[in-house]
Amino acid sequence: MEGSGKLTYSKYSPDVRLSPFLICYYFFEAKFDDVKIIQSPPTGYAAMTFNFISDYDVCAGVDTEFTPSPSAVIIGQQTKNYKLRLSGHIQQIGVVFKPTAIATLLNYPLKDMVDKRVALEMAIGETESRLLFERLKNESRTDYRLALIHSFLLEAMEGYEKRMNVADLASDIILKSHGTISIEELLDQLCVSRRHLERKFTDKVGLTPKQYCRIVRMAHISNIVAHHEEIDWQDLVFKGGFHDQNHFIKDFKALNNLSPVKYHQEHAELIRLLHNNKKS
Amino acid sequence: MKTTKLVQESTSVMEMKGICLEFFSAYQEKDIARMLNLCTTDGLVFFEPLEELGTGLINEVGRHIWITLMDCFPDLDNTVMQLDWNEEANAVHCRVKIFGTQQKEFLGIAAQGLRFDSDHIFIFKFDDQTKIREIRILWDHENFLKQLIG
Repeated sequence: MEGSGKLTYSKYSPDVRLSPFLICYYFFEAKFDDVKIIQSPPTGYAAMTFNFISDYDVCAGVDTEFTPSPSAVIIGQQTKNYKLRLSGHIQQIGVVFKPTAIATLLNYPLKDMVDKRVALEMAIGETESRLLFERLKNESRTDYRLALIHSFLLEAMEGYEKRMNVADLASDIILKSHGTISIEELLDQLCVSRRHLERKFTDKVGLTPKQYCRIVRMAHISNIVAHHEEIDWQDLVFKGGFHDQNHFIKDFKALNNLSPVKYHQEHAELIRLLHNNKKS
Repeated sequence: MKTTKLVQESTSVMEMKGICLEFFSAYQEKDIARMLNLCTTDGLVFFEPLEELGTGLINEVGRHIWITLMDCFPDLDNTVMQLDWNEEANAVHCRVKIFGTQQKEFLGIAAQGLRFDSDHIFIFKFDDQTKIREIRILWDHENFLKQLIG
């Protein structure tokens, strides 16, 4: 972690009890001499992050200017590429949740959280949020911090069965299909009415299943574009289930604010930096 | 070693699937005591489209709803279409066709002698003793009501 621009990003798997709800935990650390803007595409996931040293600013895809991010924050579904303005010493630990998991575990539906982030205290109360943040901040080892978050989430699981519903099942099916499943197929698999599914899903996620499929489909494609040096564009158009290249480019631009080629170029630098750090 | 574990796991999954089939067999025979005997005493049931009304203990809410259904639809029957083990959820997912003819008022709907035929998803979770500790049931309730109202 010496020198400017060095990044550490590590992912950790949840244990078997939490794996139905979590994608991963992550640790992120970077030191910047200058201000650095990092763009991030919608992922289809929700998150909870804790930021410890320097503050940072965020500009959601629907916003026009940067605003400071709270230190402990819940992040809802993003529908557009968003930007982080980082400077100084950034150190974060976070949890990436499946789309319905914050509602199911923390009893905090993300209905009004699309393209938004709110202080964690809104979801779990001021005292508990402050205690958790301070305990995490006072701990320097990542494994101890992860253990604290793990214990917090296990406690939050209490009575989760009563908060589970068809939305949790639907989101798993959508994620497994990378967003390519049709709503008719989804309804057939779950044996429920469209109205019931839409109501439950929108309450927990903030988007309709159809809107969410679109985000997941494009998030998967954006991930491929960002992490591969050579892209078979025709194959992506085909596998993404787009009618043609024009529809693909239009949808890609709508979410990422960049053409697929420009996006590929802009991410190459960041990916190279991360790879170089892993090797060194 | 790995092979032994695999065989043990699949045996346990087969046992759970067998219990699900036994549950539907008891349901078919309208033997509620046998259905409940396969479940833990504190097991939970979620008849999801019924919201709060369909949420509670298998022994209370489940028992009440199944008794009412069997009373109002004397020819109530089911066909198990599919049984799948969901590794991640640690649960057996069953697709079941349930059908019957209404002879008494049900959920405020007067009996018109109409028949319903509705695909359901039953999701069973088990405890360590292979007793059912949770049942989650999904169906298209709007379509179910439409069939009874005509």
